[in-house]
Amino acid sequence: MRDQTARMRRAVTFVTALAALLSAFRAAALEPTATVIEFYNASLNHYFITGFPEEAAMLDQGVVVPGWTRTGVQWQAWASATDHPSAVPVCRFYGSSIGPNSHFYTADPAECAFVKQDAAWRFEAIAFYIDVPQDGNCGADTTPVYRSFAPGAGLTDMNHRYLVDMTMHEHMAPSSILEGVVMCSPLSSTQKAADAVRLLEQATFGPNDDLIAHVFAVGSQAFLDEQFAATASTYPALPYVPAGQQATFCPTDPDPQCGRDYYSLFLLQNAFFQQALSANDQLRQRVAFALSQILVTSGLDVNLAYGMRGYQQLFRDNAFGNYETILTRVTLSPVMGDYLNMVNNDKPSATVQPNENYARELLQLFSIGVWMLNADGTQMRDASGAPVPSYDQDTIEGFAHVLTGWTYPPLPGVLPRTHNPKNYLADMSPVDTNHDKGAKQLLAGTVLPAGQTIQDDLAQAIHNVFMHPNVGPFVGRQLIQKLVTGNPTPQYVARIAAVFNDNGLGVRGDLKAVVRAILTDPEARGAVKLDPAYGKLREPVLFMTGAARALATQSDGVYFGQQARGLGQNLFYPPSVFNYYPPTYLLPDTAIVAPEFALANSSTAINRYNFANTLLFGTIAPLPTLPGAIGTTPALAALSSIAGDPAALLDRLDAQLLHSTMPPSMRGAILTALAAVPATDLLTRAKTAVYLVVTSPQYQVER
Amino acid sequence: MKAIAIPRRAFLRQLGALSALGLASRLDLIRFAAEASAQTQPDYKALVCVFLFGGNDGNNTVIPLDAAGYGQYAAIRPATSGINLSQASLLPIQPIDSASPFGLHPSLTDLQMLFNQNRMAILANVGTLLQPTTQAQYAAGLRPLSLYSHADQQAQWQSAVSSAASGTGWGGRIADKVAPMNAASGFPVVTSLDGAVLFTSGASAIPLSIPVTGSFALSGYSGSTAAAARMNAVQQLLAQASGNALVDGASDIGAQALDLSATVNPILANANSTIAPLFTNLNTSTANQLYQVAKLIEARAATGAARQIFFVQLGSFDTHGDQLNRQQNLFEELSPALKAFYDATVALGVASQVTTFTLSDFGRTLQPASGGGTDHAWGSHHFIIGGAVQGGKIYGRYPQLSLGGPDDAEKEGRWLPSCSVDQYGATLARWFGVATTDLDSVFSNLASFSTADLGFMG
Repeated sequence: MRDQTARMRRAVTFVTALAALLSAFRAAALEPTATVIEFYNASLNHYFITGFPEEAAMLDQGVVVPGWTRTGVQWQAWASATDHPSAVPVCRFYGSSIGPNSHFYTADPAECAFVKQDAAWRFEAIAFYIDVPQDGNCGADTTPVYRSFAPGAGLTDMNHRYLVDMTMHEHMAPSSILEGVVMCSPLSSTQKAADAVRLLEQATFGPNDDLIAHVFAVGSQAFLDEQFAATASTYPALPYVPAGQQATFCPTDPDPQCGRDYYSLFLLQNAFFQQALSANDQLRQRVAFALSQILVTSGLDVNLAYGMRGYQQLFRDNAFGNYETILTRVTLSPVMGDYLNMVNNDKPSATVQPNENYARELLQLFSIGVWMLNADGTQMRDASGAPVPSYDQDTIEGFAHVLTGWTYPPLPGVLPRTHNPKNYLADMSPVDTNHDKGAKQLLAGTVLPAGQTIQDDLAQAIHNVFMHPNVGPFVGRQLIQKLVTGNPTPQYVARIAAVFNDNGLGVRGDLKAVVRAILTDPEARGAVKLDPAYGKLREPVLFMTGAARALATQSDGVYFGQQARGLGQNLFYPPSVFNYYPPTYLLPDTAIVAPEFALANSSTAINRYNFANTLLFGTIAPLPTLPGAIGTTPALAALSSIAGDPAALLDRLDAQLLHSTMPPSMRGAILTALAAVPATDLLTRAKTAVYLVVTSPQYQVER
Repeated sequence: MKAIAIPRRAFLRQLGALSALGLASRLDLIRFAAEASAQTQPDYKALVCVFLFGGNDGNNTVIPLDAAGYGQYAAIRPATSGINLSQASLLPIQPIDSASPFGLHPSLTDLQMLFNQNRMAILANVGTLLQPTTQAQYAAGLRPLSLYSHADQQAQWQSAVSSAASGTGWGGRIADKVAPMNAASGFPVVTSLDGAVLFTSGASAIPLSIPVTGSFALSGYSGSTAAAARMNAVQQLLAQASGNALVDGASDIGAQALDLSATVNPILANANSTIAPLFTNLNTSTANQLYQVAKLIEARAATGAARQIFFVQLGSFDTHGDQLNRQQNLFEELSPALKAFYDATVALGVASQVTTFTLSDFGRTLQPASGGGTDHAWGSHHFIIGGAVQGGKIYGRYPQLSLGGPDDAEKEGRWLPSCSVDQYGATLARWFGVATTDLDSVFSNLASFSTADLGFMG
């Protein structure tokens, strides 16, 4: 082994001279001038990086120094000190005859000088040039390079690894020590565009040309500031209709589609998709959509449009507010009250106990979960290694007693009673005489004293839940999953939970701070995502809106509402309070958490193809019974205009839909299919290309 | 983390080669399906799981009808509770070996008929268990993880693992054992009408998922040169390895979908199915699901399946409120659908080769909850239907209907199960053809119980 690496060392000396020679001919440019390529040696279990193309080619050939293969990891640097004003040399060391059988790289001049004095190391060359962090942070137009250290079995076995993908870096623990940011890799314009596209996938219902250019120009922080400030979209006002009286009420209503419009969520679905496709407050809508899948109600039980309208608007209005406010508003919502039986839940009688339904799901699904969590979202274990329940049946019954005494708000002009008729127009109303006045067991050993008012009991119980240490990791993890990746590292969860616990100003539960932290986290940002478990299957709604927004589709929303059902996500009609899919679902045969894969099966897979087929090759006409309907029409002219050059067409789709990660094999397969379309039929070429990209497995997964 | 590697790619490749036979030859096969089936597949068997999501209230499903037993029921669920079923409304059944009669919920007319014809058995008070459990052991903390939680108890009913999270379900694990019997065709053992559910998840193959209604056909392929080239590209993109586990997962599912669509869609779209009239007047989700199942059984010669496990579901059993109306509506959907399906198996000549059974999250508290409903509990009663079932009997042990009584784990009537999901599943698995020596690997906790055979399959 040492023989091989010694030969490599000699080769390095040669190529270093060559590189210096070549660099003299390169003009200084903003685009990075060197690519650092990572290799892996399985028998050594060592990683090695080189910025010298000749050395990489030599390793690829495997003759002079066999045993090294590319890992796929590569990042950018400068080939010469003159390529960029802030570039500094990176010293490359190899273990001496008494030192490690591996390489070490440093951009820190002091560290370089220090290691040069260490007899265990031998200075080899300036490996490449790169930017360095200031106070641990990398500047604009660069991405951090993280170093981890594998101690190995002994001195000769030690090895360092240098990665730009934070997720991969964190997965090196615990067998490696994570040493943090050591360099700042310059980003190419392609990589910066890729990051802009990825941010838009995470923060909107899909990137489009205008937003990609905008984010590229202003940067992610400024874009997020704009999004936090954008005016909230509102669902259209929908009139009160009497529950369960469709047969008698609708004949008296002027709307001939009264049943569809007011006794189903059809109009609400349309509005959701219209606004997802075209409104400016994209991030607010995305967060609201995420929250609506954590604090779930369903049109299967609450099918009055005006009621669900209020419930869904609640999440938009509070998407950047405080989570305690959301817990309170949801608890008092008549829609939730109806859905989970808190409405008209009375204090115990001789034969009837308070209803446990809302009490149980408030804890299990909306706030803390069934197991005690560590700050990083992993399960706490007791001394015997068993998970620790976060509450017991007595606690459920305690909360069930707290939540007694609320009824529907009184209808205007109707005399209030202790059990008002169904009405979703305002928060539920307290009826103190129906409230249990005993002491109640809450979380963390707290007991509410007997004799409190119904309002005080509720507020103190919500606060008791909100202050539980599980809430930050439990809710933070799910928001990460809904916005960025289904399988976040514990470190990512811990960073977000810390922001949930304190936004920096001492405020707990500030969702604006949480969302900003999620989207600016190194696991969300960064130019290159190579971790084999990173990302998430595009859930049906986002799959559809992503394709539609990329094509600047004009739509009244009807088509998307219809298609969502066959794709497994009938919008606003989740099958139960457990949402369309669970946050814990594992990709089959793996340990990778991939929630949206619970909706992936042969039936929905066929429907994804058919959705794209109709969108692109079909005609989606306006519904005659819907006033103002326009149907759904994607704009394909821009793509048709460049379809004469199939390679250019694919470059554009690659950048917009796949952040320029389309593999050559995929590109080749699509180019072959495009060649079968007559060159005179540019529109069909454009449609074919879009169809193949958006139905591809590569596009199904956002990463 | 599971130890088993991913054999799916190989499986899918094999399947792809088979479907290269083409659609036309498949249609030919279907045409002669009925004729061929009798001779070629004498060994055919199917298990049909009907999952009642939300936790069916067994206490209003099977009720003692004798004066003393009903009296206990009515004392805790009086008419004023809002969830009382009157004694006169119950459908009487007289189980073999039982001194006392029982009554079924008044909407279970069809199931009463099947029970009386000895085509249906009742398994009383079955539930998730770590081992046979006494009240004292429960009080000391011996219980399944997250008892009374929907998600966890659904998972435990489907996995038969109550001591930890499981990545596979017992339907999927049975499928792994019998998969060699389908080797000739490569057709998946498991078909789900509810997408990817834990029950169907095994190690050997991705379950087939079919729609409850509507087409399972890929649209947009007209036969033009350009369309053929496009399909060729689609197939290539599905076959390309990506380096990302999620992308590869999506590829596997997509490839399977395209492969099986060509075979299965003509079966589901078959307007001439001989059993269609049995389902004509039952336009419910449950009936539609069971009709799809029946059509696949009818076409077993075309699919080449010798063993099939189906997953069918009906939701909204979480009757915390308005239970009388809600459970009635649900049973009015469930009962005729199960009867139509049983009749279909009779018409297809496979009544004794198809066994249908119910599962559910848990039972519900005997004590009423505010709002005319009930809360989450534990053990409950289930139905097993088919020609091979030793019907007309109640298996397991019916609990004593008493709050805080000998069968109550708490004080609201949450029954300590008299037998376990493991035993329930193992009894079905043995009939299905899983070797006795394999039962312990399918049901890893089976040895904790006194018997692996509850007797209802003879």
